[in-house]
Amino acid sequence: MRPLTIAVTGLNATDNPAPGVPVIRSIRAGSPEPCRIIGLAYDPLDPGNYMEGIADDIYLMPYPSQGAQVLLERIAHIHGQTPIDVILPTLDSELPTYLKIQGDLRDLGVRMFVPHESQLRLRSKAKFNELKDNLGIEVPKSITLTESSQIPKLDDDFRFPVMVKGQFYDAYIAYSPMEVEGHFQRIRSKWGLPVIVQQFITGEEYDVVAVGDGRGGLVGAVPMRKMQLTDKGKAWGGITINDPGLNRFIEDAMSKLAWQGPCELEIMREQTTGKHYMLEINPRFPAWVFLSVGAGRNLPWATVELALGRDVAPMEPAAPGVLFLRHSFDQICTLADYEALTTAGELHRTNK
Amino acid sequence: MTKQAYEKPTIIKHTGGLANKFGRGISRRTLSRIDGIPVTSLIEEHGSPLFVFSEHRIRQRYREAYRAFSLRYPKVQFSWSYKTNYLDAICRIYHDEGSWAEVVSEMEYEMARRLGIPGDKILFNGPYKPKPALARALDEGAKVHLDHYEELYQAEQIAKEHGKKYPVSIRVNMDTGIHPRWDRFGFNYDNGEALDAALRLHTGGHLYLDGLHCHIGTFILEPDAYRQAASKLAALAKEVRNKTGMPISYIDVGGGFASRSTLHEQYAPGTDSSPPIDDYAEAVTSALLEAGFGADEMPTLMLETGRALIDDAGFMLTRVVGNKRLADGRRAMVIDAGVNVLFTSFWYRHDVLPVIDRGGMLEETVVYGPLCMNIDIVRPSVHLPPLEVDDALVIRPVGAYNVTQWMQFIRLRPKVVLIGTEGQVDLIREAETVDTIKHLEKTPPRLSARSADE
Amino acid sequence: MYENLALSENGFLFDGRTGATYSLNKSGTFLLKQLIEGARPEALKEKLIESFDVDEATAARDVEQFLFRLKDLRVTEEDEA
Repeated sequence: MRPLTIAVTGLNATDNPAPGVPVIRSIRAGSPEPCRIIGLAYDPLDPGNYMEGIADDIYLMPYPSQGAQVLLERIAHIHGQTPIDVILPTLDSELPTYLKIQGDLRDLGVRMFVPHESQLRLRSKAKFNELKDNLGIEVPKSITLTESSQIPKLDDDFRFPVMVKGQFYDAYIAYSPMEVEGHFQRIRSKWGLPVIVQQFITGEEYDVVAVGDGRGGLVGAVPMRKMQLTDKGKAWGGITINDPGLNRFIEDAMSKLAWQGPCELEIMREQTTGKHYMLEINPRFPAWVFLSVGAGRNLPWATVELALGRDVAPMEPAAPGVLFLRHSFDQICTLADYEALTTAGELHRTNK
Repeated sequence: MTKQAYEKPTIIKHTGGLANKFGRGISRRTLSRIDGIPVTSLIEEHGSPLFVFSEHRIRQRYREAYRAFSLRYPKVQFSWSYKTNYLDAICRIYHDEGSWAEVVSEMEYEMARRLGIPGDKILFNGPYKPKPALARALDEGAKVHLDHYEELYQAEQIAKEHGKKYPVSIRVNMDTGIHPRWDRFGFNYDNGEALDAALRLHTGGHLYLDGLHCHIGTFILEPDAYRQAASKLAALAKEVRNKTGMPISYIDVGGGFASRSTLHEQYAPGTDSSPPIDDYAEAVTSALLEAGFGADEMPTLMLETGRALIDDAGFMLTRVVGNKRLADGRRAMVIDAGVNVLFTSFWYRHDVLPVIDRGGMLEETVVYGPLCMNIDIVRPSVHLPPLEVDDALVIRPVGAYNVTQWMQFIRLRPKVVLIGTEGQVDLIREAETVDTIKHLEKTPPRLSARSADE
Repeated sequence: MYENLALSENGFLFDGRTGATYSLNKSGTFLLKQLIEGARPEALKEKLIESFDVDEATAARDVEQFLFRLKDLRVTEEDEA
């Protein structure tokens, strides 16, 4: 019998790593039988392509910008060589494209367990207020700016400092309307309009990896406090925590969202009031998801089981104090492997 | 010994992080026929560059759109947006399908009248309607959409002069949750200006409010914006009804639905990211149905959809005139169609499809037009196989705006042909000649006396 | 002058002097392989015609452009010495 075969995207493991490699490690740790892992890479130089014990086969994929049809053709081709049971897309940018072909994949017998399109839309920073207005999830007060004439009026509604954010990337703190003006111009020229101004909240920030069952139930969540940061503010080390108030907030938010599949939540606990605010929802695993395995809550494997239609019992909150520290590692790769990926777009480690 | 099939020798350097572009990830696409007609035979007969429109696609898209709205709402009327494409043959197809005309200038108004469209089937939009044009439109029963107070006063004045009471509509702008917010057309809803204008119009005694119109933006990818627009217009209509006792006869949500084209800044192709017409229809009609109009006072839903109906019915056929290698190593190509006739290249990432692919590695290529202008870039980057001079390419979708916004600049504008539903190919606009341009000019005799060789 | 070049049958080229890697198509691989094996640049056109279905004018043009491209990429250096 052929082994359970799972395809995972996002094998880029640089200083701002994609979640593919840790997701694969989690699956290998969770699966009771050895399974076959197919790495779906966007670049021959993705380090995950070359790591021992990660992917058995690697295929280069078209960029999502090429559209759903091209992606489907590529997956159908791979599926013809190596039948795939489950695909776990792990990158934000590819999710809309995977959602487009979900039905076709199902017809091929390939399953996923990912958020709905309507849930992806909720993450738009320009519409983040709707989380509160429509669902009752606390978010920091925010306003969208489309012209600088709105800036002097900010004084009426916001207490400084505020955060000034681009619709996709970039966030700056501003202590005065003058500073908002400067950030507004910079962000506008880089990312376009609108620019978002958000109430700055002083407090403790937590990162959470969670999986929802899509019917309002929380399958499991592992909250973490960052202990070490890269210069981009990404976690390079962190520790699990167990705060009943935070756990309730997570459970409540996931239920209101009826979130399906994995996500990373960024949550702020306001110092003075103890109130929790949702800062961001990312519709995928974070790169530190292997911490969930360390904490005994293997969320990637749970997602595979859910994709396969199996029942997964809700997990109790994990014990606090499980610590992770990331390290980088220089591995020696063969030019032949690089050549295989560059010229054929495939690399196979297993003998078929 | 049999020889191997030849392709031009190519070497492509792997640049950091981008090597996949040369790998298997990119699909190879060609387009050799349009509605069954070989592209090469179209070029042989009519030359290149050549605009080609497909009557089949025009009718098909129109019918899809009409069905999407009319299945959901009892009274629907489309009006063809002349500025999107006002070639007579094209307009006639839409009128034949049942579309009225939507015009934004006295020039377009005259175009519609010349095609035999009666005044009462013309929607007259736009921020400037010269007084004689406004008078004519009012007199001919056109649906005049007033843009600002000056125009309202002028319409009133004309009514007084003619001793008549005219139906008019007002244009309304509003916040629909999208950016940029278009607030330049008409009267603002959110600050009460639109209601004020409607009531003012009523109390003047020479005009009465027939309809409400809005034009919220262009290439709007968010159907929900139309839900908000329709529901605000419906709320305004009901408020006017309550205050004046007069129901309105139509609500016009304008145009702006996205075609399947792709903006430069969009990541995924438009074929994936543009909402289907049904989503817009659902948003607009559900807002109107939920507004609670009495059964006998349901306003007609008017639509001025242009781009979404015609864009992918238009193709530009062009040929390679030169291959180049830029100083930084990038591959480049010059084709015989430039931005003077492909104006939408500035905003959209059009498909550039070879007619044949002889194999060989795909390589990132800059596609330049033939103008001696640095801005003449049809695609800043597209993956193409090796191509030879005279190889044909198809650029799509280019049906919207290009044959109205095109410029006579450096080169003359090319022929336009229409492929009929039976496969017949008809010339619908002749290629320009130098005379087309020069016959309008007058040279003062003092300058024409001397010839150049004197 | 080509001892730093590692060219595989399927058109993958590694230039040990610069560290750059390249992909070549079939005819490109053929031509570079000829050079590495000692063919003189002037002889390439004939070799191309012998092995591929191509007319003389095209072959001449393409060889000229390909050699320039190799030089431009520093895969080959003009032997001025």
